[in-house]
Amino acid sequence: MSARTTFIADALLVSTLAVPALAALVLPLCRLVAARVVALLACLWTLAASCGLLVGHHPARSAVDPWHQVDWAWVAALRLRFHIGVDGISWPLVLLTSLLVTCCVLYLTFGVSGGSGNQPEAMPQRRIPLLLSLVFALQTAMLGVFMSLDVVLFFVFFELTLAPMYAVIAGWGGPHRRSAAMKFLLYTGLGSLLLAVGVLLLVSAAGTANLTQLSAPGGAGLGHYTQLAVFVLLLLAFAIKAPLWPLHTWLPDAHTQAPTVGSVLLAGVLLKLGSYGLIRLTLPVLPEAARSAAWLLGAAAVAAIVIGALMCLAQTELKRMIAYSSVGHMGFVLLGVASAAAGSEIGLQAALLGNLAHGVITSLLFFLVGSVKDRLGSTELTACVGLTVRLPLLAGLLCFGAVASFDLPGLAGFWGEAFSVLAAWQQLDVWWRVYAVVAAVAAAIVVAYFLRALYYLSNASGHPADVFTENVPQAPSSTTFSLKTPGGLRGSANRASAKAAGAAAYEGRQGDENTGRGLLAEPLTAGELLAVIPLVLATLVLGVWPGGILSLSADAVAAIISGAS
Amino acid sequence: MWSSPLLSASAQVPSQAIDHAALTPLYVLAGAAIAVLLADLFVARGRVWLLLGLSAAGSTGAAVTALLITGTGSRSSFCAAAVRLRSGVDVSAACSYVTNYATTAVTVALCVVAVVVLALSAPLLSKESTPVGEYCFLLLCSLLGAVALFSARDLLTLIVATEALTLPMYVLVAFGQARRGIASATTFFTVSVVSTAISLLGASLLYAVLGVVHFEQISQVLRARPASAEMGVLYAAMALVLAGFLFKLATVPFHTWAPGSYDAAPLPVAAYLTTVSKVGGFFAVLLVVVGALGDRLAQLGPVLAMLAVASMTLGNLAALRQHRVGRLLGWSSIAQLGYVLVPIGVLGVRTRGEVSQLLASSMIYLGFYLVITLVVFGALVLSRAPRDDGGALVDLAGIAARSPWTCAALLFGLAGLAGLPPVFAGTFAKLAVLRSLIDSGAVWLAVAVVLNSVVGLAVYGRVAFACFASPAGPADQAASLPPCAGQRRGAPYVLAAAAVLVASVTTAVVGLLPAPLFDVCHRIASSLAALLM
Repeated sequence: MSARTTFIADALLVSTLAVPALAALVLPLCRLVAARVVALLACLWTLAASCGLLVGHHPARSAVDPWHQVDWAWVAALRLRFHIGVDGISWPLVLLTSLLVTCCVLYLTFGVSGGSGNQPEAMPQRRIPLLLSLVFALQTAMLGVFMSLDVVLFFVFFELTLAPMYAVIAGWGGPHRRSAAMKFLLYTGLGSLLLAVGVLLLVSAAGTANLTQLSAPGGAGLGHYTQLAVFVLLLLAFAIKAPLWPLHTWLPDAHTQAPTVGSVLLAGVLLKLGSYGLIRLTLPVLPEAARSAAWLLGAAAVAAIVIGALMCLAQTELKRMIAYSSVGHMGFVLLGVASAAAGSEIGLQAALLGNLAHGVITSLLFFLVGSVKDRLGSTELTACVGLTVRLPLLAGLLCFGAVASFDLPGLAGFWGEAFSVLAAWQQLDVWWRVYAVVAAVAAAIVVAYFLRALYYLSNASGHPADVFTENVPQAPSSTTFSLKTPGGLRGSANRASAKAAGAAAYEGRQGDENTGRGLLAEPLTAGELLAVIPLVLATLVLGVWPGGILSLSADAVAAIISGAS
Repeated sequence: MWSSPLLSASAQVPSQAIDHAALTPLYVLAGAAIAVLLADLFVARGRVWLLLGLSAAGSTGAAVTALLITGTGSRSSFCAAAVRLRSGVDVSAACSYVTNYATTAVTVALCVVAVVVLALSAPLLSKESTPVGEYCFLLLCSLLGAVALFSARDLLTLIVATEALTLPMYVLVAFGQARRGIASATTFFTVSVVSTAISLLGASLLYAVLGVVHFEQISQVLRARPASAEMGVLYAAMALVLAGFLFKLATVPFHTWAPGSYDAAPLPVAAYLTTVSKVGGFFAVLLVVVGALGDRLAQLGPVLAMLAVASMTLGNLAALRQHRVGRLLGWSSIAQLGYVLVPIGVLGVRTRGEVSQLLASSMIYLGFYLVITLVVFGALVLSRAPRDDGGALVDLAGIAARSPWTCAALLFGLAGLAGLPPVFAGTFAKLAVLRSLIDSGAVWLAVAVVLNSVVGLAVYGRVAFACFASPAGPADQAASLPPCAGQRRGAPYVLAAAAVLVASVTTAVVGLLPAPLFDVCHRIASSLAALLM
């Protein structure tokens, strides 16, 4: 490349970080209208710049062989350099982040539906600039993690995600936001500080913080015990973030309490920081430790898949259900990573694809569930009864998301999860085969819980009364799971009370419909549609043409696996 | 300065030359203090502004003279000649008062902090009932002690300087609300006087055993006589000296006076206590540990490390349970000083490079902590009535809606104390300490710091959350709260707000471009490390 094109590429690279950072600084000072313009410009610029980074991509010759990079001194005393770049492994995630933030900004800019009044605190318009600013701060942090080529910088950006997300949950969350925000802060704070120790230990032992050098074939060349210590610290940090069973308990609370954009970014990108960290930092840098711990990672991943699936079945509330399904989906991603640690190229590719697919699909679901909540005031399954009739478009999109989430072939989720099972099976080891079989069976349970949700959505002819009196109690799925366990019994009691509330709400709305436009009939706003349509398209594209993404990362994946073995 | 009865007969006590240039910052401060007192007597109108201006000019003048006159070269004063002690050990000549690059840097930092504290005091001083002259006089005297402290190179000068630093604080703490202020000031006074007595006892025991009081000579004697019959007395003496100074620093288990004093003192005084006073205590400990007892670091180190870990753990856990802002910040400062002290604990048998790095990381943390603390206390000053203490945590409710900028500054400072980016100052402070610990192989201490930082997240997160709570209680109670921002925006508050702005911008800039701070701290550290080797 000529000097000039290199300069343009560098400027583009830096602007993907600088523009959101500037937007985050400027937005709190703006009034609503100005804030919308600034936010739109910033997110569209970042999206365009992220796409532009694809220009000049080349096959990777080593585990970290960035297409473009910038390397500036920052704090020499901490061995911290501002060293960023993109390659085939990070670029898809950079694009995903920019895309999701764009969706969030569109959602916040072109109309959040006003809330049904059932929500305790509808979002005041004048606080939207602040929320937008936090979204951009998160974007800066997340892009920074994906683009870091310096492990200390990686930690700094990793830690940078904490404060904005805490503020989003604490400032815009549901009624139990206080404990949810604190739980998020403490859990993920512990994770990122353990990461700090791990990273500093790594840098101290290896003598460099440059990721390109650290991921040379054979890894950073640490001694056995140092490698193991660093690995344990990094694994804990990333497992909390991903989250991997049994460190996942912060996630459902954070998701249920967070506002829609918070949930979207949390599920869509923040969780990926964990899996990306495992792929980028542990596999190529600490190959020996990764190989010896692969079985453990695999076991935890399978446990996450099974437990995520079972917990989903016990949920009666959509947001919580999607949150637990995230645990399961991330379990598949980590199963892929585990197989990759054991030397499987397919496993690594499955993990990368699964990351993207989960980001797109779960974000789609959270947007839609947010819309449901704005209209019905509740996301209890029973409150959604008959949604297909009352809000056909929303219900249809929700069905699409649910179907995508249980891995229908031809949609985004299928490839990642099918191939991670395949990768585990190909390990030619009894235990790995057990993992594969158990994961496959759990995938079937996933189908069951989303079918159950769809059953509620499409049940009834639009007259909730039918469902409230007879249909639901006899519905096979709900009786099966409500009568067997104490948890199930509690669930059914909840359902009964929610039913009463739902019926009351329905009657109230009937009155609305008589006088004017009822809340239930309120169609999707432009903002909601604009946010959702790109995600639907992305789900289709990823499902039909996964090769496009795979071809970008194939060489880097091969280099990581061959360098590790 | 101090003639020794244990000198052998052949040694003669030389007449001491006084290098007045080295003492100029002290002269400037003393002059300003006296001028303030006099002006307070003779000027009636515009007294507050005149006195504030005089005091600020005094501090600035001290900083400027430190830069210009003492500069970066080294000067020394009050020197004792080389002698042969009765025990047969030859000690080199040593001076009681030394200035060099390190002392100049610390002097400038302290004076700048004092100017900011003075600006924050403007609302308090503009109240009719506050004795302005006394306040400024005491503050300047205390600053004089702090400036002299880091230049002290013998135990007695150090103790005198420390006393000059703390004595005025007893009175200043009592400036707040009458009853609680006086109770806390009395506690503070009693504890402090006892701790000074303990230090003195330790110093005299050391003198009895070793026959010298200059740090350089103490370390020479300790090196020359690795073991002796008086080992027990020696260790007791070292423990006593250290305990006395640790009282001033308020580390566990010598911390009990701190939370109460922080809570009862007016906010600017509390800010001074957490910044200048802590720095003084820290350097006193550092001088004793590194300058004098460096040869015994292998034994002292683990004890200090344990104390540091205990400080941060207890400080954070106790802060978690506080309902008053002042107490919470007091406990949190105990915890923060734990982080500062940790690297000192592993100084034991190390190469010079490692020692320098460990010391530097301590000072880097302290430096970042100074600016961040000023932001936090400044924001609190802005949110409260002039003579108030920190108030209860619930009093913060609604501040986000009432005065968003103050709230933003407070949150900024809290994030810094918690070590969370985007306040990189706090993050880099933690990283510096962690890095030096890990490079020295003290991974377990690094893990202790990390676990404590997580508890710290909860502490500061709790305060942050309190800012967004909606004000509790009926409307009439809300009306009786200190008048809201906007209604009492006089010139004093503008000055205080400007100080907060300066502190915040400094924090942000130092966070983004920390290289200069790192350089200065490394230079100070290497000059201290030279004392050790």
